[in-house]
Amino acid sequence: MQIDISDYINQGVVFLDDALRVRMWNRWMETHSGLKSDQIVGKRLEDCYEGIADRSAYRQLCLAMENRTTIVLSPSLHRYLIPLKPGSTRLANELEFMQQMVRGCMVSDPNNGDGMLLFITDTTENYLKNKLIRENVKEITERRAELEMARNLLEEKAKALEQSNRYKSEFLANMSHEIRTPMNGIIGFTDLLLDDELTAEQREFLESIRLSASNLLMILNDILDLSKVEAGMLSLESIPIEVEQQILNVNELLRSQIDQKPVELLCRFQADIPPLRGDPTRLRQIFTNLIGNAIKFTLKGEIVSSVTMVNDTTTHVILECSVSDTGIGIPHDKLNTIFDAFTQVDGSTTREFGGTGLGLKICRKLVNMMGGDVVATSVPGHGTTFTFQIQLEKSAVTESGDVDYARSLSTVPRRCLIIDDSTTCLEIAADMLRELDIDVDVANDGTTGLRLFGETHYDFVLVDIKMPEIDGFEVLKRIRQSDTGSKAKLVAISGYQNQSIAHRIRVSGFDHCMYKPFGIASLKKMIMRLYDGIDTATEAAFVAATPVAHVGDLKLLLAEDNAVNQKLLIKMLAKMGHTAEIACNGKDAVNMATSKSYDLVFMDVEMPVMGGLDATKALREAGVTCPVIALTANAMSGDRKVCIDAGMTDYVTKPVSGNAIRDILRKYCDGCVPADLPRGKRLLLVDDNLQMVEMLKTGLYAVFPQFEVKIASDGFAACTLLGSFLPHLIILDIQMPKMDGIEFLRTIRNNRRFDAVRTIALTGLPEGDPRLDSARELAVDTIIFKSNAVMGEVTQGVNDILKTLENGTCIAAAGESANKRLTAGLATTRSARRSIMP
Amino acid sequence: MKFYQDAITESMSIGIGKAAAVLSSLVDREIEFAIPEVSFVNFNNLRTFLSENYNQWNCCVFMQFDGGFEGDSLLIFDKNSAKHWIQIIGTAQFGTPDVIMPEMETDLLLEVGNIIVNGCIGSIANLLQTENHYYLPQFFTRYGSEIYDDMLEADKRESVGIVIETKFTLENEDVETELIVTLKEKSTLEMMDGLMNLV
Repeated sequence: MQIDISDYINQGVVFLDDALRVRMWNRWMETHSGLKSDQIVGKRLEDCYEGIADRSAYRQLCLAMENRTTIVLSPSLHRYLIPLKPGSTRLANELEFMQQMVRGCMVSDPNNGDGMLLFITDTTENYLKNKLIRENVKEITERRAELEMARNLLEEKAKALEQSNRYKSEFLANMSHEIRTPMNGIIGFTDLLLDDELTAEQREFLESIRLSASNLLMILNDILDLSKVEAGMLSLESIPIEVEQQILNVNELLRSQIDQKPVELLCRFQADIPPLRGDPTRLRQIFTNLIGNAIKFTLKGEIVSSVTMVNDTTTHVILECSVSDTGIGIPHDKLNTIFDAFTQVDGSTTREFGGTGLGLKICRKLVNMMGGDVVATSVPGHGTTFTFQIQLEKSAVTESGDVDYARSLSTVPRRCLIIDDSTTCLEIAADMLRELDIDVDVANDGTTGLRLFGETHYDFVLVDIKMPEIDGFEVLKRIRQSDTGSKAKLVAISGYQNQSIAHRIRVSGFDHCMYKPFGIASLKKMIMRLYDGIDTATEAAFVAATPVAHVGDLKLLLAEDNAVNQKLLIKMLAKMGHTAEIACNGKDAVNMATSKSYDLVFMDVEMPVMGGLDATKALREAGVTCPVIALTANAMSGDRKVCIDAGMTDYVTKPVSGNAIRDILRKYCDGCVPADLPRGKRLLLVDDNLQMVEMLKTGLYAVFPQFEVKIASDGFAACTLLGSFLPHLIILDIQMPKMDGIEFLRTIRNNRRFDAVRTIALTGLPEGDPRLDSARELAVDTIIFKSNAVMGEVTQGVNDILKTLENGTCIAAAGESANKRLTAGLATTRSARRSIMP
Repeated sequence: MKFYQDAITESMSIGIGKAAAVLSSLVDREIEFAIPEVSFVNFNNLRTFLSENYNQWNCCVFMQFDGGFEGDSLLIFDKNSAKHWIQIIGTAQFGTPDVIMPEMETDLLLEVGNIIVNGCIGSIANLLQTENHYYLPQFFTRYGSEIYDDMLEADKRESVGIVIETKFTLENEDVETELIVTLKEKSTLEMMDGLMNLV
């Protein structure tokens, strides 16, 4: 039996003779064509397959046979030569005909003569794979195009959003300015009018206007703040902050809102919170909102603000803060919605309690920005607690120097008694006193307190004024009448601060008074006053007996374009005894300040021709060094920094109050020599002992009236001051908290800007202390020991230095006679002090 | 030698022209070609020649022939030429060149190479009025220095290699293709006689 090898090949094998008739059609071809060999052999392909002659593959085949060359027909170009069924059902479902790779060459067959031997390979699988890839690529290409379009659209939207945010930011800044400017006029002139002689009705009307204007300003501030937060325009400052002091300040500010309600404000702070950095303004805002709300909704009891440290890492701490009240409470179903904008507990809240409903929303946003969230818990009828956690960065230094407590006491108290009907206040005060190593006994009412006082000796007693049955005044009276009570040190503590209570405390015989809430710093100051021999009454007498530098009529320049604001500020300053010249724009202000000397310049920021920032830069470049205070309606975050960077000394927000102006003048002009006296020498006093500072300042000014004097309570505060004040001479204590005199000297000696600054060290250290050697190594000019006659030596030391200073004024002769006057004055004061002390 | 060179050049031009026409109709694109450059190299020096000029991966179409004259032809597409042929055909057939699998690229280059080789060898056969028999063409990829490793037969040692460098222009881009026709010694002499008789 003859074996036909072609039947065993997994390919199609076809032999076409010269006339293109099929002469061999193998089994594979039979299978895939459906035509048996005997059905097609002897026939031409075009007779069996309609339309095959039109295909380019068939034409190529004919050409190759004609030229007697080889033929290759790739499926990429031709798909197939002969329409055959695909190799499997699956493939047949995808494609009608098999994709084929055809190769052929001319051969001579003994039986059939010359012809083309074709080999046909099924490439359908590859074709379909390729088709799938093609489809995927097409889809990917289309997706890529869609993504590209979406990306372009997003970019456009991002640009539009950025522009919208810019518009929002500009709108907010403009609105802030536009709203505050007229408010400045309304509130300012109302305040001025209230200072005048008025009828009762006129006063009542004006106070209503003032209150309405303040409320309106508060609402506007809330709206602006919320808009800033929502627009992402609000950013947090990061400066040294004393959390305890900020909260105490808020409490002090809000105490007046309690009015006649039997509500006490208390604070509880964890003792070991390290120095921190944060945004004091926004922290105060949070507590103002929460404590303000608590005051509104608490009719009696107490409002306790507390701060504890719940996490402490090398760089950050987490503080848990809370404001807890004994107020009307919030229904459980309203607890979450109270944080929504414009939502209060119910619609009647606004009518009864006031407010916009924005405060808590702003609070939450601010707390969120500080890394935490606010949670409210409440028991209706019993009270509410708002708790939040914030993350603050640790700081190397604190905001201000602390009072050095133990060092300055003549006697250290060891035991005290607290009498207060508020259990919370007893706990808080007792905790603080125990931190100062003072044993504490507590009494919850006057009767128990009197009994304890009779049984034990106490170094001092804290007595709450307002107590049921026996109040603080009655306790004082009974103690003073007792055998041991006449010399007892008694301190009044009161949750209410008004003139009548303050007066009554002053005249009743209490040694001192503290207002709730108080912190540990206030306790220390109180104890220092009790045990340093100077009480408030004596100190006032001391100050009165000492010649005080009289500021006089300061020469001021007001750069302000708004006529209403000009008039307002001129009036305010006139009431304080000062006159001011006016510049209507920055350019005029520069011209005036460079041709004439002023003690201080008030500079509006937004002015035509030349704005306040540019004018300040120009003044500094021209060598004008007097303080320049920004007056601006803009209160956006970062505005203060912009002003300071431009060379301004400080910043006051409109609407400007008389108190704000007074504070500014006191801060920058108190102790100043008026502008028409010869100026020249600047002196910086650095000492944490307030009395020493007061004495030095007074004494030196009496001898050297031309000095411009500034004061710092420790080395760090002095460094801060040196940023805007370059003294000729620094008189500094060596032992100070936070940054002592040696560290301070080292700091300034590392800065070439202070190369020419002379220094006098005042110290209580004994001769031979190694710190004195350090001071000498740091080029201190003179060391004066506090045990000696300080003032005389200081005067002499200053005079010696003045002689050596460039352009120094030798005032030895004048100094000697002035020194005699000073010594006489101080002797009078010392004898006055002795007569008051027991 | 110049005479043979010119004769073969003319013949190759015709053959390449025919091939270009066929390819153009297949891809529906205009294909131009340049007059080929013809040179001769001794077979033993071919390895060096290919190492120096094609020392990269190349796509090769190899076809043997006998009959009127005996030898083989090797069409070499370097990487760029192969890529360009595939891109052109891919775009013509599928709208985008990025959709041809490697297996299909091989088939495609084999067909293109077959057309060019047939055109060139056929033109020489026509010129000499002989009839050749051509074997099925093969496709492989190889480094230039290794191309002839499997094909270095003893009886080729005296063969002459005719190197025909062609340049097609597709879609404004030149595609260079090298065709090396190797004739056995006897065939070389017969070809030369044949060419001489034409004069």
